Amino acid sequence: MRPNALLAIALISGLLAAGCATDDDGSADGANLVVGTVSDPVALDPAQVLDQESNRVATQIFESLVTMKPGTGEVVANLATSWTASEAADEWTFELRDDVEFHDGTTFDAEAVCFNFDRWYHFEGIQQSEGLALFWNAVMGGFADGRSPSLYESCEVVGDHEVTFHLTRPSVSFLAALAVSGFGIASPTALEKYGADDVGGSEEAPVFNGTFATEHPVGTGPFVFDSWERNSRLQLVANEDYWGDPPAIERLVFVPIANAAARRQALEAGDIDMYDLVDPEDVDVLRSQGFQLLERPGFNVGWLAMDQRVPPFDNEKIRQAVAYALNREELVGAKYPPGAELADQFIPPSLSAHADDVPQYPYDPERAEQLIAESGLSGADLTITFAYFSDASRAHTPVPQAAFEAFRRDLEAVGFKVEPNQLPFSPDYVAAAFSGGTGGMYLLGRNGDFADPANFLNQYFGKFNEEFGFEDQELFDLLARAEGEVDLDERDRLYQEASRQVMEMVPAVPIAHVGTFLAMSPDFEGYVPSPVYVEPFSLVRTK
Amino acid sequence: MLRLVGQRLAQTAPILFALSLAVFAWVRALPGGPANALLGEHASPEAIAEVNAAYALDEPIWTQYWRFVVKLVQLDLGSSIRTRQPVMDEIASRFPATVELTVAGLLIAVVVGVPLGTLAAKYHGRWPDRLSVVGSLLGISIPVFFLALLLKYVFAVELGWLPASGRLEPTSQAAHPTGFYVLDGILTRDGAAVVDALRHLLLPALALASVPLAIISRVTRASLLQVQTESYIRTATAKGLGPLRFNVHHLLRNGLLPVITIVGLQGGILLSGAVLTETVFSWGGMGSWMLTSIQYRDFPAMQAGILFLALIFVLVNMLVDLTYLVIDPRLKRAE
Repeated sequence: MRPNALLAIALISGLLAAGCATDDDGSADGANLVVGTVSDPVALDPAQVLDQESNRVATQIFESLVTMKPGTGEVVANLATSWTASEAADEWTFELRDDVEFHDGTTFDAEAVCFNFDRWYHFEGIQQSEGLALFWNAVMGGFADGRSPSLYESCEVVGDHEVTFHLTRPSVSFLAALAVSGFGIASPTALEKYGADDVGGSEEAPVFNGTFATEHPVGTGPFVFDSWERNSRLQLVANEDYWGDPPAIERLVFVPIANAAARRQALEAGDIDMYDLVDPEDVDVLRSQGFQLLERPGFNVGWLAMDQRVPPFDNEKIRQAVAYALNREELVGAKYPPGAELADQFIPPSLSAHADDVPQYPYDPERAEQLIAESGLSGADLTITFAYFSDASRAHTPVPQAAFEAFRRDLEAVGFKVEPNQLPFSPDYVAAAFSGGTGGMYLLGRNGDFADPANFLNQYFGKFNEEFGFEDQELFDLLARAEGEVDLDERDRLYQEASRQVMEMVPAVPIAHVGTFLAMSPDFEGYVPSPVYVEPFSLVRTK
Repeated sequence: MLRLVGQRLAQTAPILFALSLAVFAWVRALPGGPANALLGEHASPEAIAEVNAAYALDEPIWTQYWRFVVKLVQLDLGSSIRTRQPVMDEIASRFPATVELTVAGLLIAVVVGVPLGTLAAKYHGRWPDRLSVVGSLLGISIPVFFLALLLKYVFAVELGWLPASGRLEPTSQAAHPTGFYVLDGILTRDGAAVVDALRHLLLPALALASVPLAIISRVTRASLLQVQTESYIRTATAKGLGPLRFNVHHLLRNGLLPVITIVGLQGGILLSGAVLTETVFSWGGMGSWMLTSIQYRDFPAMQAGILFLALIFVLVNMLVDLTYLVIDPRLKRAE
């Protein structure tokens, strides 16, 4: 027994000592940054992923023609140095950088850009699915097979470092959309060599045979793919030949830690240097411990929708009465996480199309009662069905149950009779919301994909939509005009006008834009949270 | 012996078949489909239909089951809807993590539990015995996840002696020929990697060991107390055998049979997913994988994962049975 015990003690103290040694190394050289993520990325082909964790890594490896100025929605040059649009905004010409190489040593040029766009345009089968080609679907709408109309028509190589995109109709949001990670330019050589589009298996169980997205993602970005042990760690290293300012971080590591409490403890224990999606209740605790809390402005909006096919929501006065009846200020102040901001319209304040003078609906129960009286409805007419969920939480709708309870009280106080309709979020609630089957009133919202008002207004109010159930050709036309307007100031003006019209009609009552938090060790600086998740680690350095 | 193995394997087949049917039906009875989980809340009905068609989820359930069985026989488990990787690869990358953790946990449980139980039996009714009874009660009654959180909080967060998550330092560049990180370190003669892997293993293994340790020490104690009253022990004592020979050949060999059953059962249970411990320590094993697969309604992963774990459980039990034969030759004759 005794020698064994001694051995055990020696082993344990050795392990503990090793621990101290590693910790010291980690903080002394500061060259490594370890990021705790919510989950392992799915794949690293930016054009074929939907989840945030895949995009977060992919944006460090791949770059788009344009990007967003850190922390804002302002479009700035990236792989393109400048761009011009034709008067009709259906042709876009980009001048490209002439000093860029892909990580595999091949040259970045106009041919490479068109190769990528044509690849995306020619996706087939499941590669076209919204679960894979999310951004292409959201921005372009269709593929080469013509099953649904595509905004994209063709890419023309004008010179070695100049390309022109031909669009099927005018679009200005096209420019901002190009900044999202889904339009990151990959090395054509690597795409072919590592079978990026080699989807095999059978139709019922497609298997991505290629290794491009898992072992050989090759772009032009500030970080180069190094290794990926699934579910353990994904390592990138600094691109020494980067065309821009090289990153200060030598090795960038992503480790998946699914549980939010475990992420916090990993940061506290020094296993990781930063993590995303801090639990709201941990914000103050971590701050008091000396960690940096970085707030990402909410690029989303949560709302209380009213299906206009269902009476009494076909009555504008009733919808306005609902808006006045809700004490949103109190709900957001008391129940929403820190970082949430009361919303008075659908376009988030970080976009320049956000209007300052939309109709306001402050909490005013008397005004609500007055509007109900003006509507001429009473008694059974005022019985409404309110659908909600309590088994899930969304970034834009963090506390659905509390919101339902508060709003139900507010609505009954002014004379509505509320029939609750609780549904499991997935799939019943979601399915009901998208097929006009909620019974009338329900909570939902949207997270923005790219920094353009079209992403918020056109998507929802630009054409007939099952979620709101109304036809308003004047508004549809206004939004179509705004989307295609080339003069950016005029465009903002049109969107502000549309925002006013929407808030006059109140198809839904916007509730809040909800921000999120990242926590970071005090040893680092330079990380800029972005409302659209364009967050380059190349700006991070040790203090 | 070989015939016995064959018999056992043959018995396994109908069990697995019945299980495959149950799993298949259960997975599809869950509310929500993979398309919703995969595409998010704003998916269009067309996109959902497309995913369902791509994964053949729009076909009659019997057709789907038939395809599944045909594939299964060809050892093709399909590909995960969530990660798009072949499920076989997913299991291959996660199972070693779970095995490593289970082995470490059981090792601690046996190495500490058996001597503890022996000591308790030897000093029956005196303070070492009482202490071990109280200790094992504690071990059984503290929820594993709570112990895991406690260990992590004290040793990782507060004292900072050991890491709080993962299997290796995030920046580690150690090679992994087998996927068992401690073994990999030894094979590649990378001392630092072995220490690194052991440091990460220690806390989760301790947490995981608590219940089996308590059970093992109790069973050892009870079994030895019972064996001590047997006539052949009295004979051995009367013969004046030395303490080592007496303890190992007579007392332990006879007293350990029930302990082996327990080790086998616990091993099977731990292998089939120490979900909570793996989650607390972000251990990339089978347990946390199954949990995520269920959340995402990842049908192929759930089906294959559950069947695989069932197979492992059955195999571990068979191994335990065979171990009896080695320890107690009387059983062989009985066959």
